[in-house]
Amino acid sequence: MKKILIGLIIAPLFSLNSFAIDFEKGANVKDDVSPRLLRNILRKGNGMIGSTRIVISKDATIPGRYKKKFEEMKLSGETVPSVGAKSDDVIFITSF
Amino acid sequence: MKKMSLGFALCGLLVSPVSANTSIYGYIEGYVEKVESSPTRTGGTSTSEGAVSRSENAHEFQTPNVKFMVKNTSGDYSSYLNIDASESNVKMTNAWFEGKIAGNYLKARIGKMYRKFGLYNERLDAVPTYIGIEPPELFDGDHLLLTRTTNFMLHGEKDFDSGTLFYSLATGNDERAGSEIPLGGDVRYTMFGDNYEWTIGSSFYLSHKAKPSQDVGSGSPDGGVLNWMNEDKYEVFGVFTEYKRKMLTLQFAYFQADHDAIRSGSKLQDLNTAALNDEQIQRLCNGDMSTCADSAVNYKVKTWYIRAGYSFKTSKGEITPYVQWDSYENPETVLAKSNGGDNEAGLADDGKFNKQTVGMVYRPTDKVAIKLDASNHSQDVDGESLNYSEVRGSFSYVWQLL
Repeated sequence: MKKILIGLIIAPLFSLNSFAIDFEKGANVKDDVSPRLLRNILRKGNGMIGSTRIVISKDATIPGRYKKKFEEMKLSGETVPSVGAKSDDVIFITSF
Repeated sequence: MKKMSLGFALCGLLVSPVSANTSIYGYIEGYVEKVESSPTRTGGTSTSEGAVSRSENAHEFQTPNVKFMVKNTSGDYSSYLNIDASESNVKMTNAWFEGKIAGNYLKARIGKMYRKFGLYNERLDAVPTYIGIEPPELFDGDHLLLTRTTNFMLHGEKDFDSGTLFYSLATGNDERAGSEIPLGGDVRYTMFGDNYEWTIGSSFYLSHKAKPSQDVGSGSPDGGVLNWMNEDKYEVFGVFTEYKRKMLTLQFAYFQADHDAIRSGSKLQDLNTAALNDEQIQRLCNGDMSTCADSAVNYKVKTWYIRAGYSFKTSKGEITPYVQWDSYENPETVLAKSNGGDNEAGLADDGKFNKQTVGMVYRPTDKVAIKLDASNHSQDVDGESLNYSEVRGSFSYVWQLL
């Protein structure tokens, strides 16, 4: 029972980095962007951080749960991340 | 106002030319339903109710959603146009322009928009993405708790380490009687864990003095004021929560509308008495519909729902079985949508019904959702519990041009 309890407590700690996102900040982007902030923004389905657009590389595979949220937000009229090319004015996600 | 909202949206679209910041997309939904022989009441007079009998219903095909959407974002500004061509008249569902006043903390949106209210109001045009086919009862078209759209909204969000706080205040023409300022608000907090998201929130609405949007005989009201009222002043308050953990989704919401209204005697006399029950005749006109007079009434509309779904990934796509329980109670309503009433609560002795639903969403690709479900409706009619069932299917396809 004790081992199960310890396992239940420890398991989430090992999953902390399971949603790592690789990204590059464009040269003109002044906002501070932490991986955790970016992840939460994507989980909300937002396509912008401040006034900076989020662009996802064509080569990146978007996880299903993000994809579903983007679709929901898009059909509700919100701005969602777009798939496109890297530029100095965007936050560019290279992989999930 | 419609022209003004459309103007704002079009201005927003024209501010920047079609570019990578402009998306043109939409979806089409085909729908089929078959209701089991459903109970209905006929043969009533102005002083006594008629009999309840079952009538056969043919299966019915519809295209409830043929949507064309344009979204443009340009720095701190964005606009959105949502056009519905599902009926013979193409109508503008949403057309708004938004600007950031203080980053994401404060944004102003003007035009015609869905208000932020509970879990579903803004989501109902995202049919392919949510569990279930029918909206929760507070946003069911024949007995809305309030108008789905409004005209001006201040809203924003604030990020914290554990999640995000969302807030909004909105006002518009709604159902106001004159120069009143109806006010709606919504506040919610979403916690983001590593494997879960948990939203807790509350919404409210103050109509102030409001008038009916439809006449008796013209169909369902656009908001919470029933067709046979002279005026109404109502307040809606509700709480809601949504918990998502990996593939599991759980939702619960409770909403209540408190009405302080004045019925119109002449409008009540226009109601079709054939479908009224004894309780309604007594309540609305003291037992004789031919002698109705203006009368004051206070009543409460209560509704809640619980929804749960669990998604399975397969090699052929995603399958999400779901269950739902909806409850709705409106003691003031009557049978017949044409009168401004509804066919579920209006049939019951006490204006109350429950609906249990079991169904499944199948998403073979991100762009396609096939939903099938079955519901059991239950209500008390003439002192006895009465049930009937309904099966429905929804097939939606999302397209994108840019």
